[in-house]
Amino acid sequence: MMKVLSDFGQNPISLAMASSSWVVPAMQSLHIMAIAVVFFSVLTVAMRLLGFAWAGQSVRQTADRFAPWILGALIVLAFTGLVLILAEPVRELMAVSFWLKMALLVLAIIISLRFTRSVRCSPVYQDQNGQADASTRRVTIVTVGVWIAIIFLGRFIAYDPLIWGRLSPLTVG
Amino acid sequence: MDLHSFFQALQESSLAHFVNTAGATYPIAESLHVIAIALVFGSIFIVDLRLLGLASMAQPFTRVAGDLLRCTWCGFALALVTGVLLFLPNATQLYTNAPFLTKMALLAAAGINMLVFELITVRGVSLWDSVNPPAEAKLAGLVSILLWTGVIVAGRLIGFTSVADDPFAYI
Repeated sequence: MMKVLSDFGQNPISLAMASSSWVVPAMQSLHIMAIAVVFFSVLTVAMRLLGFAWAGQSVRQTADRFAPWILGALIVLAFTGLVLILAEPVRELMAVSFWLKMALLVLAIIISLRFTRSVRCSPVYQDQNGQADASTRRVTIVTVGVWIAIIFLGRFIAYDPLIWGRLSPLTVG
Repeated sequence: MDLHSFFQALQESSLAHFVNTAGATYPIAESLHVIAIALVFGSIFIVDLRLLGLASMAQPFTRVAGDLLRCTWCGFALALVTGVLLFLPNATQLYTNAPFLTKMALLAAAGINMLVFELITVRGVSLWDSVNPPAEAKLAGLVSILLWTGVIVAGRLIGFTSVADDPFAYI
């Protein structure tokens, strides 16, 4: 696997990206800005659900306000993430942190899609002063936790051997 | 004590040693720094877009800014603490590092932009609180977005120029 990826990394596009002085830092900066938009948007909807902010605005209004930003930023994340994988396939695809991050990302997207559906159906979410029930509050806190874990794992990709030791295929010896 | 010995002393402090060698402390501090950036940039971006008249137009400006200010300051405090922790193990390299100094200069400029806005521009807010803000408020919003983008880019570039005792950073 390591050999396949390392050979793949020799394709002209990957080599050009990896040797460019600006592609990787530029994509990483955009990736950070997009994660800021996603994380903060999720956090604001969560704050409304938990009753910390945006009083006077229904959950539906708050969700509708931030959904396009979350979607737009996720597209930027996918694009910049793909470029980063192409530039450094071994560093990304052999990292334990990368695959855990992807698993949590799938979980976060499933939770968001389910929430988007329920926000349209439940009457309490249309009400300006509507409060989320206890189970929704729990899911909200878990969702914020999942996004925090995604950010940690994203940074941990650069430190895979240090974090995972022998579990990481990138650990030498 | 000259500047170099000062930063040398910081770098040799037990806290610097702890951050650099105690298991995953350094990457954890970095991750918390990213979360802090998300809080600061995310909240300021919403306020700036409201200033530009591009988003959150259904709510008055003071309402949008008021709800977010706490997030901005919490994020800033976290960024400062984690930033100092990340600085310490690399202090002697960083105090002359171009991207680091650029980042500090852009942060100062963003602070001045915010101060000018808070002290002067916002005085007439009652006239435009619920409508599209005037040109000077829009300018403050635009300058803020550009400066904070610069802070993030310069910050990321630090990792590409100075990673003193960080053997894993290029993997």
